[in-house]
Amino acid sequence: MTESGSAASGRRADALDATSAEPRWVTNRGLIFGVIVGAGLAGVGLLLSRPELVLVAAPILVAVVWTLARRPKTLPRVEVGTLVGSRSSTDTVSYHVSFQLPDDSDGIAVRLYARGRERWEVVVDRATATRLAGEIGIVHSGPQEIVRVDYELLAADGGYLTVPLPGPRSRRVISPKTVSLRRLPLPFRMLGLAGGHSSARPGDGGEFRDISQFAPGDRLRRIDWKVTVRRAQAPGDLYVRRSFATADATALIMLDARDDVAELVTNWNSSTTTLDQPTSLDIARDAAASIATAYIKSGDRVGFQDLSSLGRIIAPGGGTRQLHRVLPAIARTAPKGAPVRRLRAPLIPAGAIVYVISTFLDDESARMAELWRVAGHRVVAVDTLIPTPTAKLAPAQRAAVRIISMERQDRLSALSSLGIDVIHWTSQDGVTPESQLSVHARISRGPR
Amino acid sequence: MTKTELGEVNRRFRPAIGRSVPVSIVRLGIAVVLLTLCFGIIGFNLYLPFGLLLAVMTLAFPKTPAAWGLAILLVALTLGSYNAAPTWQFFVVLAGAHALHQFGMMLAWLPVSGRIQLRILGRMLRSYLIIQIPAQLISLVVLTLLSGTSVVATLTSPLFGVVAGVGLLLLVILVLVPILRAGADEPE
Repeated sequence: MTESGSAASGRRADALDATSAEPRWVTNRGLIFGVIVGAGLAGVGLLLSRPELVLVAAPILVAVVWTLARRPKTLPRVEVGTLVGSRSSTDTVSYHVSFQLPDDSDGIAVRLYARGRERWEVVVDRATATRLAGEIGIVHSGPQEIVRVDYELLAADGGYLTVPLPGPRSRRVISPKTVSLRRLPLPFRMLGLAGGHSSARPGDGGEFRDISQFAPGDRLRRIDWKVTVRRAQAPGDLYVRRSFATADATALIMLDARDDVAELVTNWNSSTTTLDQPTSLDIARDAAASIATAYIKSGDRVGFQDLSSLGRIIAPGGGTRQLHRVLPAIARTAPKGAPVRRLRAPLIPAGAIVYVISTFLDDESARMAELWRVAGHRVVAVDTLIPTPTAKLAPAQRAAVRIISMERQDRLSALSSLGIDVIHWTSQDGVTPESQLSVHARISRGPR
Repeated sequence: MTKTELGEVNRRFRPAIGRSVPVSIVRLGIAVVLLTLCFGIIGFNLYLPFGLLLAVMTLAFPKTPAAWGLAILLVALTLGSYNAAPTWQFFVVLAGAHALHQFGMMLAWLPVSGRIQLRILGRMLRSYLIIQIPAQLISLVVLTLLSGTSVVATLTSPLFGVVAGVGLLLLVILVLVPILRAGADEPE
């Protein structure tokens, strides 16, 4: 048997995952049992002069001979292709599986796996096998297996089979969902000479600042003639209207992808990809994508780094191209290997606002947030842990959860006391992240 | 996505394959046939538990020759005492033994769950009927002719047995050799 082609992770949504195989036909064991029983009955019938035994054996032997007569003559060559669509608004992706089967096969037994969890088997004829299609519900964002196919060919009414063969495994990176965020906190210091926000420096494009006497360097079109007429005391006195400069904000999104935990504490040790509920990393990706999209849309600059890896930071930038750079990087985040402990916080541009998106189940991301805050940056800690119900837990488990929750709460309180804004993305009391961010957007504390 | 919505989407994951039946219904049908054969042919006697055991093994362990074992048991119990006159049990066993051979072959590849296209089942049923209907008719004719009152019953000779035996041996060689040769070619 030979196989070629494979599905890679992170492929384009409309990419074709294909495999081909040349399996060997295997005789169904039932044929051998049929020959033994048929010949045995017929032989005993002849020996004992019992025609009815020969009559009972005859259909079995004829069925065996007929199956042998229809034995496939050539080695089968099977081509399998899987097309996976994009995530729709209803959180589904479509898939199409197509088999090109040899002429002497009757049908095919196909085993389909959705998201590595749901399994469905069908036995279909050759014509139907050319177009098998359906939709798969998507629960998680990020890199994941969408659909996998195993199959087995049938010939001569199942008298000849192939061994079960692995087909394509279609892995895709599913984009996170974004929510609209209208008002966002801004950094303590604005940078740049252009942007959507007012800065404290005099310049062009911003709101009215004051009226001042004309000085070298002022533009002529800034002269306010009405004020000049009113205030000028000597010939040559000119007055200009001065405005604030505009500036843009720089937001750094630091996503901690080390933890990927579900709602139920009992599932914290198991793989989360097969769960039917979103996990903390899904929430984190959604939060990071929403924040990045909102800042870019308001004309600001956004950078991104996965705190769980030692890879390079995506340098802050603005515009749609930067958004198309940042969103795939956010979507690709996944827990990788052993957790990384950094000796120092990654260097970030001066005057940036830093979003630390984490479950804060350990000290690492909280330590990073503290370091950035101490360096004078505005820091927003986005808590992505899903509130964990404890009602159905055993007393020991409940006690463990309580200890972990208290430690986490202490960590978040310490961040708050340092002047770090804390946002709960999945709040138990129904306060949306947008309203929490709006509250913090109104507060513009200077550096402490 | 709520659990209800997810359940609905999970159903849409299953590809549309036209007219089909759940595999569980097919397995249930096979179980009904096996039980009918056991209770109808074996009856309530000491062999019934053995027959039921073979029926269960046919369904639970399809790679074992349990189906053919059950066929032998049914044949042995029905045709144990000599009676050339056609009875309904003989015709049921004739159909049943052939069906057990087909079931045994089919259960080797039938999935545990999912759906099977009616076209696939129809093709298998057609093959079964093409062989079984002539077999029933020929059996009826042969057994009628061989029954005590027929003239044909007197036309017996030991020579016929020798000829038939040689013919059967040739048939077995013709059938087994290609199977064994194909088996030797298959990879481990």
